[in-house]
Amino acid sequence: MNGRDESSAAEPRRFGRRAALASAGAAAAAVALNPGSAFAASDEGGLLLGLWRREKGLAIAYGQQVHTQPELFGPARRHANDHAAAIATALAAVGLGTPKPPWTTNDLDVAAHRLATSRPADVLANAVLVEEDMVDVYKGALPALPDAKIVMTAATILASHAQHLFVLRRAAQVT
Amino acid sequence: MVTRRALLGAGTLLLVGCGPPDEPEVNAANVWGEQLRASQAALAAYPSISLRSAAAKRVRQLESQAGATGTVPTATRSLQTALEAERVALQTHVAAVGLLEDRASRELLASLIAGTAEAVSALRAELGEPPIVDAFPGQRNRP
Repeated sequence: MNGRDESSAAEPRRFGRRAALASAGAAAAAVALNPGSAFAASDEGGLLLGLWRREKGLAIAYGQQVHTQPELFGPARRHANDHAAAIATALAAVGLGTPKPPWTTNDLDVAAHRLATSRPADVLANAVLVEEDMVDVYKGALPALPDAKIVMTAATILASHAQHLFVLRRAAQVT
Repeated sequence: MVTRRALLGAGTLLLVGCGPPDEPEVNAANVWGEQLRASQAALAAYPSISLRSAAAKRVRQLESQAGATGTVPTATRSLQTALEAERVALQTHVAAVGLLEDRASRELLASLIAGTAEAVSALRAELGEPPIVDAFPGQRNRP
């Protein structure tokens, strides 16, 4: 289940007027990618695609901020990529290919975008928010995944996000 | 020439051959009993620390689901024993997700998995170990 650690360090950072305009698009995209809708997808493939996009987006967001908390965000980014790789395997199992990944922060869902574009003072709090979001997404996904092997993989990913949430809360001193 | 009897026989064979594969039937009560015992074993291993109350809450959730408490396991109380027992409980809950398909069961298991995974990290931190060691906690034969 190990995936590649796709470093996003080389990815362009574009936070100008264009980015502001695009963030409106990101917000619209988030309607399709937020926790509610990720598990609202009626079919297994659609649900898995939503989860895959969330993990890839999270990996990009952590990559953008890895310099601020390398010991926390480095493993978190690597694990998000590992999760995406495992979900890609599940997508193949249901007969779907892996879509084109998000490339810049403008392609991300709201929570990941907020983390990717955080000021240093807010970065830990926003990382906590995004992991809370991921825990909710997977809690919502488990009842909707019919395949036993796929749902067990999703369960281990839920466990992973719960652990990252614990570590981030502790670092942010949030209870 | 193919007789009607032969065709009927062939149809019967087809029906037998195309039936669902023999899968062991899942006994939900047994699965919940296993979850309860795993979480009780973890709770029994906790020393008197604040993390214990969350473990007790998980046991209470399972007691109402499992319907019976059975024999409560005993254990040597230590952080290390609690960590090992919570790791086993996490693996048990993840395995159960693959066995129980109804929404209510999956929702309860999701809550237990998130809480138990957090407990594993918290216990590791208490022991001075790295709180996260794997991208897929709860898989069998993984840390």
